[in-house]
Amino acid sequence: MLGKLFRRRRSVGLDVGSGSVKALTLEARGAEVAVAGYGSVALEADAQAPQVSQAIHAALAQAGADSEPVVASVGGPEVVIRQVSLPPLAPSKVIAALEMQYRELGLLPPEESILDAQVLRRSKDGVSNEILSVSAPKQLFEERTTLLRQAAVNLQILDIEPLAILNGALHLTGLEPGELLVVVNIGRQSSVLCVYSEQGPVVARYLEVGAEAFTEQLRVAFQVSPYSTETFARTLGAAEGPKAEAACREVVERMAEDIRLSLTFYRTEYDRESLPRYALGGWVEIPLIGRWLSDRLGLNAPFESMDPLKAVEVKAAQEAEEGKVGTQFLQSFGLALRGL
Amino acid sequence: MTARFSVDLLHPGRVAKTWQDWFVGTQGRRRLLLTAVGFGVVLVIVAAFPLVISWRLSGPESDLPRLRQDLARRDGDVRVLKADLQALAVEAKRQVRWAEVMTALSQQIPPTLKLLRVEALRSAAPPAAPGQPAPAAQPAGEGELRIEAVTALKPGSPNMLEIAQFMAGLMKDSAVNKRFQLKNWEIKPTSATVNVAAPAQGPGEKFLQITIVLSEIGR
Repeated sequence: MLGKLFRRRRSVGLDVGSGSVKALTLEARGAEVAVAGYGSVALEADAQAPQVSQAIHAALAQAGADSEPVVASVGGPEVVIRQVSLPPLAPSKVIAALEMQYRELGLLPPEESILDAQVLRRSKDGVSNEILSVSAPKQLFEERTTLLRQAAVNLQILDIEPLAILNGALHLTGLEPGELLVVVNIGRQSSVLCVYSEQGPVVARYLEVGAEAFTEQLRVAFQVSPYSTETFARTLGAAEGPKAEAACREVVERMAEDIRLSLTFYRTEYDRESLPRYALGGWVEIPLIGRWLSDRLGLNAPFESMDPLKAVEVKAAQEAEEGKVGTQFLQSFGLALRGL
Repeated sequence: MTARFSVDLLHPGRVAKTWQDWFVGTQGRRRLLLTAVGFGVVLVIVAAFPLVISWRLSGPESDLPRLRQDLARRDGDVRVLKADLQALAVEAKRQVRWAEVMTALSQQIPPTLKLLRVEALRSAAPPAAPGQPAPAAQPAGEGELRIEAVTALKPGSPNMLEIAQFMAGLMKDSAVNKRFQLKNWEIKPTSATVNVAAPAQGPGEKFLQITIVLSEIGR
């Protein structure tokens, strides 16, 4: 145990998204972590398995983790994350009890899903435990593991996307008791909204709004070529700000509404007292998104930027490549943390 | 660990991972109990060890005064025995020394000389002068050997020659010269009334009394 404490540990997080593949290598000594390497490779919208495999290899090579075991994840609206109370049970019985609940609730039957659980804490009454259960359709699980096997990736752990995002955000924010974390991770086609506090459960929702919705609005408003829209969005100046905000108003409004509804539900049902902290990760290439969202939500400050490359020591002597915004590594950072 | 959430679809069912989780569940109470019993046993062993040592030492500890008395008594006995042995050694040495001296005297003395007295004297320390510190104690064995003998006075002084030969022979004898040195000697005529079994004592015969004093060589 002491050896493990003082030994340098290393873990690689691999985030295979719809728009890009991101890899991040973390090193830890004791409680301190440092980024040893990171890489990101964009994917075409219609990329097939061979292209994804190539992108995985390229991202891992950039992260300096060619043949190391990796922590990857699956995600999507089909993945169910629940927090339930169960009486104290043996670990082998926990899964059986959860499967029974799943049948009763009409969720995915055990033969069609992969189910795992984690004992989070003993509940206050002392006779039951708080269990975090996750289940993913077997098809989704097999698609992801097959893809990684074809890419000759040595898979160490298969996590769940929202939990990886939360793990990363919890590490970066250092969330304290009495605080409620609202984190939005923007993907290419959809975004993940996670709400969590010590007093409540993990709530994860997939929003039908992603980076493409923003870039499409900007492309139409500013008459930009589809190939240069992302570059344009990244370099959006203050002069174009009001026009861009007006163009993206509807998209921002939808996202803000989803956040507001989820937070209201969470505070009504689980935790009225904790103070919300808003964080933003993923595709944040329009620098003003955080401010637009906070304006819509009536907040005084913009969202906190979840950038592991700024918040954590970076050992890798890598040039900041164009388009590599640190926030996009939030999920891969959370995955790498999981492997330490 | 660093990550708050630790599910793994690749290895589902590994629910208990941390040591806290080990105590959760139906087996938790039993494990907690076993651990508590284990700790209790260790504590009992740790606590009992000094007690056992103390208990084992308590018997001899009560005997300690008696043993100390016994030791003091035996120490006294040893001291007395040592003093006796030392005294015996001194006496044995004295006897050996005297036996050697007597042998030397009997060998060296001429037939005309008759020994009157052989005595060992302890030489007296000179009195300390007023205002001076007392002299150091005289070393053991530093004494005098006083030999008194008589011989008939004859004309032509052949006795004197014999006396000289006797003294010379005595001082050459290794049994004598390694312990004594000649301090002084004296020859004086004496009357016939001297109470000795003088050789060929006749009426009106004259005698010479010889006194030789040997002082012991300090070692």
